[in-house]
Amino acid sequence: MSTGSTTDDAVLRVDDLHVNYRSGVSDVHAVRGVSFAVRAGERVGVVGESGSGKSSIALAMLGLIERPSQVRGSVRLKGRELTGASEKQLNAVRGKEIGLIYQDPMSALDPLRPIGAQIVEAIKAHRRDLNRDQLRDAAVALLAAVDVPNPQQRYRDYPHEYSGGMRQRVAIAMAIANDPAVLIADEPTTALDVTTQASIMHLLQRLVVEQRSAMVLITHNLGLVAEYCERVMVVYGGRIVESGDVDRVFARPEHPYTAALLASVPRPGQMSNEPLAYIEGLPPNLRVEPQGCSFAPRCTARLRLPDPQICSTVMPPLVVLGEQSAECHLAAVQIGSRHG
Amino acid sequence: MKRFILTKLLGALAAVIGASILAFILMRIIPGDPARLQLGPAATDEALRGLRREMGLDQPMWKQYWIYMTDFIQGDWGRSFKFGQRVFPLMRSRFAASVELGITAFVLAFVGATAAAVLTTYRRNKPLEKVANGTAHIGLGTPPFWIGLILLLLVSQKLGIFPGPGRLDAEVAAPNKITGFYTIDFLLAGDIRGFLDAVHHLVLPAITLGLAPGAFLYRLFRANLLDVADSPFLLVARMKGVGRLRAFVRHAVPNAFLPTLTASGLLFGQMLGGSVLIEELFNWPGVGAAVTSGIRTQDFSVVQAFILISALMYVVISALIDVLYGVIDPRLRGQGSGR
Repeated sequence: MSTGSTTDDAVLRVDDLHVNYRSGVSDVHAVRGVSFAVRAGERVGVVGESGSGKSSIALAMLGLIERPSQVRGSVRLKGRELTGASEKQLNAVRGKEIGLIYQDPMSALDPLRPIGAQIVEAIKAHRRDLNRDQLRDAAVALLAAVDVPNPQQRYRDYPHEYSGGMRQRVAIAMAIANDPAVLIADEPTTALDVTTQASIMHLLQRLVVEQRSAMVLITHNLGLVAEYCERVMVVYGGRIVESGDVDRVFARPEHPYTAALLASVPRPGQMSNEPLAYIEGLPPNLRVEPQGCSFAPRCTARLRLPDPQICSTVMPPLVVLGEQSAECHLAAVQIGSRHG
Repeated sequence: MKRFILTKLLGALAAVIGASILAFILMRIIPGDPARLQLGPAATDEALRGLRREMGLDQPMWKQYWIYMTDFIQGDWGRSFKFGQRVFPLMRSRFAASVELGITAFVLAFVGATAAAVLTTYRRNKPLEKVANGTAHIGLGTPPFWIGLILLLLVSQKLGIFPGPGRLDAEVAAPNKITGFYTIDFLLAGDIRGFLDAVHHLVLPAITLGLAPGAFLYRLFRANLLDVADSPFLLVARMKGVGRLRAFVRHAVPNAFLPTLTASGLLFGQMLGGSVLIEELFNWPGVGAAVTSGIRTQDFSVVQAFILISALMYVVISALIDVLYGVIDPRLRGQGSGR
């Protein structure tokens, strides 16, 4: 396995990405210097709590953060810079090179337009050469590809005639309509029941493999990441606090936040009278710039440091350990002692 | 679908009959004696009794109603003693004037409100927003009568851009009566000068009549648009690579338009029914003035005809709105209940 940081094989490269939402008196600094690369065909999981900045990263990559909110940093797709690109250039990328599956299938479709028309819209935005019949055929084929039964008939149906799972299949069909190199799935199964979740995830995985697309799976479900992704990025307070090979990170988390997340996953067979583990405290206030590590106020592991105060005063260093990296003072000390 | 239409039709019929009964009873329980009003205080008892018999007022009320309704359906709407004219042709020309003005005002209000709402939400254009909101405030907060007066003084008297009261200039003869709408009748007669004059005369009263409903529609439509603008399906359309404007027009506007439909229909119905003050101000021979004087003088036939026709218009408009809902919103199609 190669390291994820060489320029050649990265389809998508994000460097020092910031998202600043303008709202009221103070800005919400939702994404705070995020950098990562996604290789062709790679499946990357992005995990974190609600409000950690996961979805903002996705929107920023597509240039869909509207003024007056600001995006800084660089997003490069196959070497082409997307931040600061014109609307016209971005429209050529959206849905063509990068597909996005929105998190809530119930509200992702226009209730007044037939399913077919909405899929056709996705194809047509990038294929002006197709006539009406060809567009129709392509849309029906897409419905079939996402396992919607009777695609010929269902093509004419309206969103309210589809179940939640079926709507999510339609959302997937729209996202993969133009064989994008990168598919971003933003909480694709959160709104669905467990059995539907599994079938949607299987479908996604199959399509990604078939189309050789890279997939960025944004979720708070660690189980999905463990099962469907090769690499994971843990987001906290708008930063990637830990990233690396999924098996390794989940087996040996270096960041206390990752460890706490893993500890709070309910296990099957857990006794019902056993309290569920959770992370005490609240997610950081993104209107305030932190002095040190934004997880410090909730971190119990830092007490193992000789000087725990450092966590809330000095930004933690990025500690790289082969495929795995974490931003943590404690990890720095521990790895230093293990390897030093 | 058949059942849907049938229940709608039955409901509509019930509404019209109900309105007619109510109008009939109300006109009859108002204190006062129409025979006395007509003949004056010096009339003899004999003459009064004679007139009452002639008017059918000695019959029981249900019988009066029955006679009135059967005559009404056959086109005999009675006679107005106030105007000394048969009611059918009278109301026909009066309604034509009011409806022509009402439609013009509604179209102006609707188009203006829609355009302003779309333009101020698509891009948050501050100056335009201020102008539109200001106009809406004036429209909602000022009596139309006063606005009409100001328009007449300023635009007609001072600037002379639009003509003063009346449906036509003094030297322009009314067109042959075909529809009763001067604009259409002039067009049918091929008289372009007359047509332009009729249009010219429609503008100021239509603005006066349409400003308040237009302001209301603007605020409603705009609120809905702002609401829909945050919808995920709009974002999803953008993620497909659809341009901002196209996504807005195709997805936001129809969805925002839907909840304003009912209000539009009600306002439209109201505007067709004429307005006494505006008709008075612009010397417009509409139904409003006729009905007010009809109520004052217990001119039964005029008031009843007005109420019946108004009820009919409302019923037709709300049926159209129901159909329109079905056309726009697939979720309502094929449901017997309607809304």
